Amino acid sequence: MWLISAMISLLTTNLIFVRALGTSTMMAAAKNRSNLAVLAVLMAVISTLACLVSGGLLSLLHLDVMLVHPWSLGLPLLYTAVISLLYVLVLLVLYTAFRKRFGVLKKYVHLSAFNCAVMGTLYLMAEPAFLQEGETLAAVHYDPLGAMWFGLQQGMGFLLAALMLSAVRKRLYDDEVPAAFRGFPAVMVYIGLLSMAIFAIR
Amino acid sequence: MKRNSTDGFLRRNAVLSLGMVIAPIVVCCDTLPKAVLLSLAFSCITITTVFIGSFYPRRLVYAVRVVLYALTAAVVFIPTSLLCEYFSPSIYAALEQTLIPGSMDMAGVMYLPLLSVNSFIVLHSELYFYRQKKGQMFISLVSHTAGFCLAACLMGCIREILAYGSIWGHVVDMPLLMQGFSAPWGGFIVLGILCALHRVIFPKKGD
Repeated sequence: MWLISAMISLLTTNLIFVRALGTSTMMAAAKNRSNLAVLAVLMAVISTLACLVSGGLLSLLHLDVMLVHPWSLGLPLLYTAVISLLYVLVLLVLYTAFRKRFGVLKKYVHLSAFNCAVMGTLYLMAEPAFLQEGETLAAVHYDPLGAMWFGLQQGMGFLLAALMLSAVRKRLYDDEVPAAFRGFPAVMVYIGLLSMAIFAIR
Repeated sequence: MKRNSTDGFLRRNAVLSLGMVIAPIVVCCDTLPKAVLLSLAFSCITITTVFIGSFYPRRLVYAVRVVLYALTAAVVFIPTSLLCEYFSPSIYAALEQTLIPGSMDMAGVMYLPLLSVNSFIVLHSELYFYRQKKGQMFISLVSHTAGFCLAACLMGCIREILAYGSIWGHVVDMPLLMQGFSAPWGGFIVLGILCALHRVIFPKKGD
């Protein structure tokens, strides 16, 4: 029962089916399953760490003023700086730990760091503060574990969506599908139908 | 087939043929005015960033170059956002207040900033644009950006007619309105159908 609730929760808050974030990245990842696993793990790691670091910066350095317009225009700069830092760190760690496979792994790091899904996750984490702008900014509390869990959840949601796509990918690229719809158009319609079903659950 | 610099507008359209920058189009382009504003923001951010990025020294490590592109885009986003707000405060507010059905949040708040990490800037620039000479690169960049704008406006127009029965707020006589087409799932389905139409008009080799 717990597993079913967790799955429903991952689906109804899914970045791809609900907000279309990271769709292009997922399309690239779903080409084969090993790509998919590496990319999803890296994305989960980067989004988890990015939530932890940016949440900490916003709260501990009192940068939460950036959640109010017009200072919020500087948020992409802050988030990009955090993601860039993590991107370089992850590259360094991979270079040290897997020097032989680094050439293959670095392209996944690139793809999993700079995309709408990771940046969108950071925006979603700060979203309640956007809604309460002005009045309750002082009440923005930093919860490191909560931030990490949020980032991890979004990464797992990405993995789930990518698995759901890779499960039917062969059929969507099959010769039986009309030529005009074969591949990318069929994938879009498939994601649309899944998304419709998930909106019905929501 | 040899690639032409202007192919990015129709034949190799970034959205309809290559499947890039899908998220803002699927969520925010549910009306034509929003699509036009999104296109304006995308054009300003992408053309300026890729053009500035072409002056960064090639001897820098790839990872550093990519970080610089993303940071440049985040800086360019600030004046672009102010320009969009100045251009039309009401459409800008509507774009920010784009709602996702069943949520209380304002989905649109994040989609304009997300343009600063679009695939044109962080991926396509290195793989395609910077491999060309400056002049050719600029033509190619403008044609790809125009292609994005075309796809965004088409999506906005079709979804506004289907969901709200209007074009740029002017009522069109529609027998049936399907408001679901303003939701992300409607966006995915319309995008899929547009991609299929694009394939019929510009068949790929082997189709």
